[in-house]
Amino acid sequence: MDPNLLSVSGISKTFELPREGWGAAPRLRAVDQVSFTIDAGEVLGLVGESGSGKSTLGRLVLRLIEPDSGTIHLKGNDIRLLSQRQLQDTRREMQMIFQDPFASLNPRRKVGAAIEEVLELHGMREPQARRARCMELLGQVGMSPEDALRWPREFSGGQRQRIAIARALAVNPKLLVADEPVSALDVSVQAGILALLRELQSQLGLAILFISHDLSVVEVMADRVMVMYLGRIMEVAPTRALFTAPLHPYTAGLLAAAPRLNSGSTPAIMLGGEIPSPIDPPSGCVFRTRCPFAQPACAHEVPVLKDSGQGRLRACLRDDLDLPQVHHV
Amino acid sequence: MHSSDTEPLLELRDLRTQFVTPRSVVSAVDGVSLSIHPGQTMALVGESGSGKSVTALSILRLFNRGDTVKISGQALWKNRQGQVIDLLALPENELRTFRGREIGFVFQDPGASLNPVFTIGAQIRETLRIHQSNEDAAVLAIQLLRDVGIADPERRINAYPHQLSGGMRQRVMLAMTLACKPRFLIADEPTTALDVTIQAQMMRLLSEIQAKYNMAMLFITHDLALVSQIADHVAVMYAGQVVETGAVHELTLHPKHPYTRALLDCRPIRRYKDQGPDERILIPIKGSPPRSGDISSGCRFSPRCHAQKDVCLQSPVPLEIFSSAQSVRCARWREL
Repeated sequence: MDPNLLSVSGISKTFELPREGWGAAPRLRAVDQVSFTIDAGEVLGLVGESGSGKSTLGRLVLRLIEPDSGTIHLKGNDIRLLSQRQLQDTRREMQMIFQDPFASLNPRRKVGAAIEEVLELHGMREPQARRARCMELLGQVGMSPEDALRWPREFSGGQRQRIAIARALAVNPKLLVADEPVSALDVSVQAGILALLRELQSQLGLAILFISHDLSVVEVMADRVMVMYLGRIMEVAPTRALFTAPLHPYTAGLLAAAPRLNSGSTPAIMLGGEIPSPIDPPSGCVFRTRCPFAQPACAHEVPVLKDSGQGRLRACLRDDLDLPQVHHV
Repeated sequence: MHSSDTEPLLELRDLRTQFVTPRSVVSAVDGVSLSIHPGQTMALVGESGSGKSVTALSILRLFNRGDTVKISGQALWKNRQGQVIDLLALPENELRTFRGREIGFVFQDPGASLNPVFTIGAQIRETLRIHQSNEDAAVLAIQLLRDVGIADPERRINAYPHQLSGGMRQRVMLAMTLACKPRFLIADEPTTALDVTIQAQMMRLLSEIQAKYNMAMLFITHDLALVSQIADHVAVMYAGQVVETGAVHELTLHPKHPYTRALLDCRPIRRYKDQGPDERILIPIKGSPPRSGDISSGCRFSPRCHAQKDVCLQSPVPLEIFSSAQSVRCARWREL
């Protein structure tokens, strides 16, 4: 029996894009040979720039997108072998919240009905039980019972995200995939949603795959962090280790670019250029074209994600790097 | 640091902007006064709906044709001859010559500001051709792309906007803006849509360009960390009004207004502990900004303020001005 709640092994996904003119359709390699695990009750942060494949990875885990290869085990069962019918039952264990709380709620359905709909879909037939559960859920996310009778449009972005969280929690999932859950919200509102997620996580023993481009948000939420670049995992480490002593040049570059209050001036640029197109990724190490430490060997050999001790993994050919430590205030 | 007796390049006096619809009048900017000095950067900070973007748009009256907008107050601009003119009193056709030439604009979404059917070179050259011959314009366009950090500009100049990334398009927008050598740049959330590494490049570029062209800048953002990198002065807006102004370090290290304090405090922070669980500091601002109809008759921030007392509710709170660069709108700041 697999001790991990979720165990993903070697999953890949390539999208075929519409053909432009003659010739073969271009292929976009979104996720390439990714493996990781999440323990029950653990928050795993996933960071990377747009185009890194982090959203695709989140959807692959739930089989909202079918992987091309690899395995996904939830509580020891390979969910890739499930039929659509069986998958429906398994979805009770894994739920997702999205970035845009305005798009994820049906504007023509009152809040209570939207939550009860999920309960009914998962077999709660008794209307009174549904109503009671709905009230309980609204309470858990910091809303009041009267809110059940209101329309989504009557709520702010932050409140809608609370409703989306209530809907996701309705069926007592063990794993939540949260894809940029606060990115569309004002900073003044973000902290409240993050605090709520952290609270629910510890109360309910939820595991969360927390996807965000915002390093400070991931730092505060995650127990461990995984850094992705062009479809591949660059580094995995416990949060403190990753943020204070990164082992991969890409992680170090991301941290250096993050704006800090009262740092005095704009930071020195460690990462120039932009993330290359996943249609034509660099050979060898995908990060080498932006890496200040790249050597000729990096163009030929794909670095594997290797154990570097103390629960840390990194994919880099260079073992001789002395990356800047980050001084934390 | 400039001496406070130099004359401002742009001075807003009691700017008020209202959107008029058949059913309602929405007051987006309600009596904003600000001074921006040559070569200096003023940051305008606040939540969405605070009126920071509308303040900037009002300076050049950049509104949709269909909107009925009432603007009052003054926007006093010191022109190259040293004369002071009120931009808000200028007729539309005269104002048009200001847009771009004297005051450049960079928006959050660079895709929406570029024409998809022309190459970026054609678009930059068109801007330049107002002042230059065709040959000079072609050479200058390449130089401008190089200035904004676009590698291989001779080739890139023939690209169409859709062939470029968001970061590249933002650089092209900046190049087009710089083509006219404006003395003042309004940058409205220019890095919000960009990745953090590209944001860092863009912030560095903006501060280099600003020094090279000696431009003044109005930098609009919700991110106080970015403000602390680039601004000389900051104005914090809430519900259409300025609630605090100050020099950047004074304001971020010693905020006087509870709203400024709250904006600083709501940034997520994790304190690592060697023993026991880490401390996660997540302090939201309760409630949300008021809608136009239900603005409190006293201090507008009072419904969300942790320091609210009766005195805050009695009457509108005036902006208490300490100097041309420092002010606060709070009845209780001395006690807090």
